Amino acid sequence: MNERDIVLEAKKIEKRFGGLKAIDDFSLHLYKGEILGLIGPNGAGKTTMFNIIAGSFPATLGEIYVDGKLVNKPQSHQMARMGVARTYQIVRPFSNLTVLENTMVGAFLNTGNTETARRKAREILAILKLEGKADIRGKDLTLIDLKRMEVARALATEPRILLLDEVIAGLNPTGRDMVIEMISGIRETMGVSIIIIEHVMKAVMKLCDRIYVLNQGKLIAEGAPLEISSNEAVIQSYLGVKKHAEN
Amino acid sequence: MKKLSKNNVWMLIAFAVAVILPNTTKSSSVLQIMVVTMMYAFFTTAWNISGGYAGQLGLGNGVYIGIGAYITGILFNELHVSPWFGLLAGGVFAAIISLGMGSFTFKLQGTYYSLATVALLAILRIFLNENRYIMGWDFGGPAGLKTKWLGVSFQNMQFMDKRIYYYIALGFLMISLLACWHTSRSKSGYYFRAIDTNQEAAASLGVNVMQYKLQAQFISALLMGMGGGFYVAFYQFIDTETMFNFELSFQTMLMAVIGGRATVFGPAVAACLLIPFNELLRRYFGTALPGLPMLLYGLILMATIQFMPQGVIPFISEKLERRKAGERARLPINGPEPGAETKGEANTDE
Repeated sequence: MNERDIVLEAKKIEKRFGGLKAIDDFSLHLYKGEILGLIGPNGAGKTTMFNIIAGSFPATLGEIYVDGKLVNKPQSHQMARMGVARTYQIVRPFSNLTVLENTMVGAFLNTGNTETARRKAREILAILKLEGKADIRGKDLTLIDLKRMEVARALATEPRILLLDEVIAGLNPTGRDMVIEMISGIRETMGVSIIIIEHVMKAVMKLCDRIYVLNQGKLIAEGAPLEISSNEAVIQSYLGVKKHAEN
Repeated sequence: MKKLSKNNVWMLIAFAVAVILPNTTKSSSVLQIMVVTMMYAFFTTAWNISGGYAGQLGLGNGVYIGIGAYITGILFNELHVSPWFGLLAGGVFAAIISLGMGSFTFKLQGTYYSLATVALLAILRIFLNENRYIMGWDFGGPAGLKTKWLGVSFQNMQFMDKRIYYYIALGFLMISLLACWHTSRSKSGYYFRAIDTNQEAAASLGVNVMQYKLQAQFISALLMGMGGGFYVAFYQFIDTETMFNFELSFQTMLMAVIGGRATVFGPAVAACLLIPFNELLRRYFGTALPGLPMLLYGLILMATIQFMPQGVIPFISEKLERRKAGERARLPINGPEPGAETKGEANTDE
């Protein structure tokens, strides 16, 4: 695997909501097979960045490149077809459908055949160890299973880039370990490049090859986990805040 | 497998009953109720594809039924086109109109979409009331359009024996049930239901939401337009008041909601129970207590929404499902690791 292959690049992104600058001149790139972390305090613009990359809404300024190709005013479904899949910070299950059916909706991206989609969905569920829950409806699932189901659904589209928005936060320690293991498993077995937004620092440090730190829409640091955890600006604006709040 | 064959047996029984039923009576008015029941079952099943599966709660369905009816009627009166072809033309025209309307109303969501469809009803009613002659053809204006009686003929879809209308309506119902059944197990059906529950999540999985909404609306409008053609052939009279008022449109939607949206048989079953019930009430109490049928209808609707918000059929099948699952194993539904901590900021624990 060539580490220098860039699968996704966002250049000089700016996003304004009225007078508020949610993202301010932020660029990122994702290497093939990499797990990239996007961290920062609440309101830093992490999820906004995901929404721009996934095509939920356009950036005010800046450009998105997938495999070196400029994506012009992307819409969600077009980004999905280009191989970008995502999960949501606040889960969005198809609550009347079962876990299997939810996953099949993803699998239908690459097939028109119901049986093929069902087989593909079962495969994914087996990889994520969710096959036991296949027939449970979205509305009857616990939070951890909802989060795993969203990952299953996204993976069923056979993405090359996966955006995971806080799949670990909100879970108990057992659940966390399970999902951390799942994420590194996905990278290894499926060769998917991943960006994660996460507040659970232990998980970020363990999983990520590189980390971007955002604060108020601006990049304040970029680097390997160890560099980040000792970075003054990061401790000031993010890691330190927690300790302060705890006192 | 066992469950499937059991369902098949029920379907066969229902079909056999439907076939035999009109031969059990000589009463013209009872037959009339049967035809109307089949027709409404057809309308509501047709609506179910866009309104049920794709979740687009359109209230202006009378538009498509009305367009189909007027096209069929006018082609028959002015150009002597057989209603069999007329209803196809009506269906196709209604479907094309639905694409035009959908491309701007589908940008609206939820209640706003429903309200926009109501506006379309009013527009069409006023337009046809004000324009009696269009291209020199007599649409009847507010007085209504009466089709010419040319004597009993299959080609003109004019019969004295109401049983024939019944079987034609039954045939249409079968077509729409097949369309629903096929939808429920196809890629489109999965996409429709995904759009219904969470549009944004559907888009993130590559579903072109607009395209699939239009597709659902197209199928529903096509079928409803064809049904409109049957409507005019059966009643031999339509006017703007019956086609474009709320009753026809609301009934179509309500039966699907009561029976169970996005189930193949729910809407048709509800129609088969509610239409005869409504007609009987109207017959026996219509003169003594004119408001009673509507009152009871309202009560049924309230009770359904209160106790079975998903509709009767899903409610029953879920009950059965639960009971079966309970018998199989008394395991808790959820995994061993429930619970969630509140999300903290910068969770640096150990």
